[in-house]
Amino acid sequence: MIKKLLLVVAVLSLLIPAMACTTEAPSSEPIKIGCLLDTTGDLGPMGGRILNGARLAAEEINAEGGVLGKQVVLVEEDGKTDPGAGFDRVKKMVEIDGVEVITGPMITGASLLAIPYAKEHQIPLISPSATGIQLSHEDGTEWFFRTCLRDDAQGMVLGDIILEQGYTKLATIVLDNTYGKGLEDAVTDQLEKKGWSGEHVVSIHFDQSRKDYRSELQKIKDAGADVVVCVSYCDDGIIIFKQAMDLGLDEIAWMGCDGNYGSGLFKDAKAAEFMEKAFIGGTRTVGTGSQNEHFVSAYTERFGEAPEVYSDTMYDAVWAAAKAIQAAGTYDGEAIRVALTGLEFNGATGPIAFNEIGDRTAGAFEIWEVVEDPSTETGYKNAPIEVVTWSA
Amino acid sequence: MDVNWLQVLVNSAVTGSLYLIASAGLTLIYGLCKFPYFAYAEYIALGAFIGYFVSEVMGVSLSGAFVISFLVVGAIGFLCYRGIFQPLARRGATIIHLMVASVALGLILRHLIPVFGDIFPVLEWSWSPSYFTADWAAFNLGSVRITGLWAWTVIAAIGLSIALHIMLTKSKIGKAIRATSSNPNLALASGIDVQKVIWITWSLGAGLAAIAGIFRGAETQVWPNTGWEMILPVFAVVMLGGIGNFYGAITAAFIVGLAENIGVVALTALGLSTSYRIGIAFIILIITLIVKPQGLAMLFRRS
Repeated sequence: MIKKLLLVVAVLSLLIPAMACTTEAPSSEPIKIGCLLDTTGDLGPMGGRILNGARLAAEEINAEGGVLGKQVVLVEEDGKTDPGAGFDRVKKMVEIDGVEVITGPMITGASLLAIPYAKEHQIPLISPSATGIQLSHEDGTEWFFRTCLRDDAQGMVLGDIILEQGYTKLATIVLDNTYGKGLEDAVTDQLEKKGWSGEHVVSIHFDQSRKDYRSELQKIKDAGADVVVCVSYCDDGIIIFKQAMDLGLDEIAWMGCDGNYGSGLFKDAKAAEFMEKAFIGGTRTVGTGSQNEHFVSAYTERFGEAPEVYSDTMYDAVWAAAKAIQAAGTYDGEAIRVALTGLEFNGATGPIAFNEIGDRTAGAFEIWEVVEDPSTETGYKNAPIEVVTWSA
Repeated sequence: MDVNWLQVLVNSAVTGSLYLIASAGLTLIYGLCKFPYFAYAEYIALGAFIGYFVSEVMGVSLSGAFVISFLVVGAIGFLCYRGIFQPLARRGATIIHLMVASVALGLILRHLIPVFGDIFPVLEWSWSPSYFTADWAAFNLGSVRITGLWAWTVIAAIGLSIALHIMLTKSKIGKAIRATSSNPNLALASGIDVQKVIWITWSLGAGLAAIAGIFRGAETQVWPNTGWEMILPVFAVVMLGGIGNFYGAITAAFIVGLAENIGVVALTALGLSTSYRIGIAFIILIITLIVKPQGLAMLFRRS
């Protein structure tokens, strides 16, 4: 008797979920948007803040009624700042979760691996922060969109500052990876194009894991440079700047980029002091317009801190995905890709439109400096000097 | 291309001094125990972390940090030997077993540092780097730039060399260390307490690593890989100097320091990434092993 009862219970327990499935209306199944960010690894601190941007966008989309009459859910995956791990997550989202559009990857390396796969499976990718130029030359780049601006755009702005200020002896100290070398090339290309009469006296490609750059900085000093362009991340940047202070390199002009923007650089007092004294300007992508003001206030209210670099481009990437699905009228990768190419809307980073290879047609950079501010924990903060608009 | 060679020499002296302080302990341990002790890197990192805690978090002076760090890491070094390597050696572990055990111990110690930081937040130990706040004056001597920290690194290396020289040649324990290193059985037969000699050497070696860790941490940053980052050049110094030979290590430290600094000049002149400079230590290591496995030691061997 008890055995029979158990059997009945077992059969019922199998049936109930099946019934639940059939009673659920297909139209209420949410729309999935893949979200691949590096929330651990070298870029972990940055990735967490970027994820906030994505969540904010998804909440707003759902508050406005969702997409195609359905709610939107983010399929959040961690790429671990590792190209292989990131690519693995892309496959998981496509093959197991069945997503038809992915926002991400964050890094150029993972994007390089993911583009051919995206083409094969017809899944558009929208990266908030992979700035590498070569991604535009990959086979399948029509499947790769980005809401950030490419390294060559940032290089043009940095090159223009060097020309404007009349420096004639350029030194570069850049990360030995595609980001560092790409940005360095972009700066020198721009100078060459504009007929700069100065000389590129020394070019240093450094290893971010070595954490001791005294000899490299000595080379810059010996070369007699009058301006230094430094492309670094956070922890390596701190050591470069504090050792540069030791060598007295604060007497020449330094320029930075999006990689060494942020409060993380001021953890070391000497590095912060150096940046305050020596930096004549750095660049980072920045938003403009009313939608940007809305984003900054909504983000600050929701997460209790101001957005940092690339939270806004991620917010725009999720919005772009949602708008493209809506415009396509169907949840299908190819249709979403076509809709993305014709998309135009006002995002947190200004007017957003993609060209035929998925790059932004226009955007803006902020030129920033470092100033003392006793009200902050470290005593220093980044402050804007001016905003430069850029268009292809 | 303009190169301030005098500055390159000064930089080499600073690099070499740091490597000398770091490798002095390793060469003594290596000479005595005859296996490559990889967990030595973690003594450097632990030294930096303890020094950081003492001087930055507790607010004791930097000199206090050196003393406390030397003593604490010295004690850890003793415990590592007494608790792990002595029992292993007694059970007939070969050089391979001991080496693998030391790699494992190193990994465990390195990853325990942030774990301790999680358990005791007051330590402020974590994977994200910390920085010493001590402000060192920097000044120009002619065309050469020197900072207070570099000057102290060089002074510490010279002081250490003199102190170790006196200890090894004049004191009873120093003579016992040398005797045990060159022939443990004979030393034992001559009535030397070999076990005690090994204990003292392990503590002293670990303490010296801790000092190197503070210098390295103050120059760059403090994080769990602080030691691992520099273990390769340190091993290159020990091999080139001749394992267990302190005088060889002095010469070798400055050769490796010079090679690295000239290497950076050469690499940038060739338009190559300075990432390859770590390869210079590798090349020195390989050439030494092929050409003269006994290192520079023979230059200092009394006939």
